[in-house]
Amino acid sequence: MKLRASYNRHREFLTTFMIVMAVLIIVPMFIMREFAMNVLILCTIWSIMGIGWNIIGGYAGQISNGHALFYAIGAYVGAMTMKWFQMTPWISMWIGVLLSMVIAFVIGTPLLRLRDHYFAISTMALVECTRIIFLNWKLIGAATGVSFFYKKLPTWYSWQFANKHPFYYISLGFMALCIILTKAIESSKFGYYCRAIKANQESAESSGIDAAKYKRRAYMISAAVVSVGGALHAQYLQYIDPAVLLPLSNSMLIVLVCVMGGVGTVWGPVLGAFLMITINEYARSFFVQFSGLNLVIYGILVIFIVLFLPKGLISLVKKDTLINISRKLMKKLRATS
Amino acid sequence: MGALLEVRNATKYFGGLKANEDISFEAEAGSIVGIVGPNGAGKTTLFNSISRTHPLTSGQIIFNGEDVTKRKPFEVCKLGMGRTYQIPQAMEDMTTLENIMVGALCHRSSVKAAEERAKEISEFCDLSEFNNATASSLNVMQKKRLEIARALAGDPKLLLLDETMAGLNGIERTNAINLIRKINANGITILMIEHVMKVVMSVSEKVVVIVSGRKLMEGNPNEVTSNPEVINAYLGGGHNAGCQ
Repeated sequence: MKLRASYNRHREFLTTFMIVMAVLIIVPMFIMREFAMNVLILCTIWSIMGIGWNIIGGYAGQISNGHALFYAIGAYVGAMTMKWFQMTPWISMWIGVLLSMVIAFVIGTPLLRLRDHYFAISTMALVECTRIIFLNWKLIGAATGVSFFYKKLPTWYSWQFANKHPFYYISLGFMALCIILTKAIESSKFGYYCRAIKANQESAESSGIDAAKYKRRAYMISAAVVSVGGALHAQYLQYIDPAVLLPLSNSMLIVLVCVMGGVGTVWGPVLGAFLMITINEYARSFFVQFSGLNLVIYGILVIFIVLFLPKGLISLVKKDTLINISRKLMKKLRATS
Repeated sequence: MGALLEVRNATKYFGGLKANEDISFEAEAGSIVGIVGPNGAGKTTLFNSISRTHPLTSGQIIFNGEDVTKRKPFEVCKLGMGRTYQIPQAMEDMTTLENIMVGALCHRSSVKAAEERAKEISEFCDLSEFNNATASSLNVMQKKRLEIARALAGDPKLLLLDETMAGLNGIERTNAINLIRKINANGITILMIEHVMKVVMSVSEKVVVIVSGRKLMEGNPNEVTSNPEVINAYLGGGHNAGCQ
């Protein structure tokens, strides 16, 4: 009975979820090109990252520009435990998650007292500090980075496969979990409280919401999810160094996939990641002669989305937006003719 | 009935500015108490001190027999103190119903139960036709009602209303007065700041007059309006307002 009721409540979400997952499971079975699989894997990984950021940035409204920090923590924990103890990522990932949550708690407690731009700037500064520390930290490879490639371990133990399909399905599985987590948060008391804090912190506090506590909690969950993304990415690359993981552009990309897709929505980050990463990767391989042109295209796309779809690509999916846009176009056409 | 809220020697300085000085009064459980005073007298400051939005410089706030002087805003809300803002602070991106649900979630952990409660409250405050509209699409009067609804959804014992009548026309005002009476009939104590004297006179059992940060007097509406000092404060000294 209860199951039935909750199914009815979330029917729309469950249907979308099933369809999207079915497509993402079945279609890659027929894709044989390594490059296409590479793009798909990156899409799922960045979706996870966007989903993570969405919890603090989209739902709780605290713009963090330093999420590459948790991405790096997830990646480094996975890399170091593999290198030192040959620990399987199935376990080391959760160590990274735990560590990220602890660090999020420690830095979130003071930083989340800041509001708006100040929070954004401080998180940005934090990730820059981390980059410099990691660049000089001999124990974890400093600037030369860490490579961890072990042929002898069983593939499902080390996640180091000969072809890309198994890794894609692992990554997709985690993405699915993260989507369900977002949906669960959205329809819980915690989700309502986060949205209330985003909408108006003063009145949220006078409505009985301990804003500091809920923001911190959102920050921790967000850090945990991003850390999962970092762990996956590290295992996929099998080589990491601070210059790959911690430049400002990574923090920005985490924010971008979410903003482009639609903040504060379940599907926004996924949509954003799949579109942005696909365009970026294909543009890069296409304009291989003119290095940097892919970024120009990327930049133009961002400008257009921000100008015409301020609520993100997800707003295109809603029926009324399409109707509105076509109406506007019709009006303009009539006015000109 | 004993006092639900007791303000003892409340004093608030903003730097060198004395916004409130040594204000004491009580609000009995189940009553409607009005706070009046000219612009800048420190009424909203007093409200913010009571609802713990900012700390007092000195003095005490006793709510329901408990000293809440050092408590945080969300804690006093859980204890049963709901408030509205002079300038409505709706959660603009959320729908009317969701706004009320946020209030209702204060004492409920189930979203479904909160939704049911929010629907009742919305009905009670005549907002049910806007349940699915975003708060930003409401007009000022509706937003003020939404503020009241959100505060009510937290099942308060005491409701602090900050100028809910300002800017309303005659009919709207009558509706608002009826709403306040209806809330009070449910056993909720009301402390209201009000500029519109007619409203204060018609609903309050006790009126506290604040002038320049100090309490001038308190008493029933008739005592207050016949006091020459009050008239002086409202209309300025030197004038003879025809009330001699």
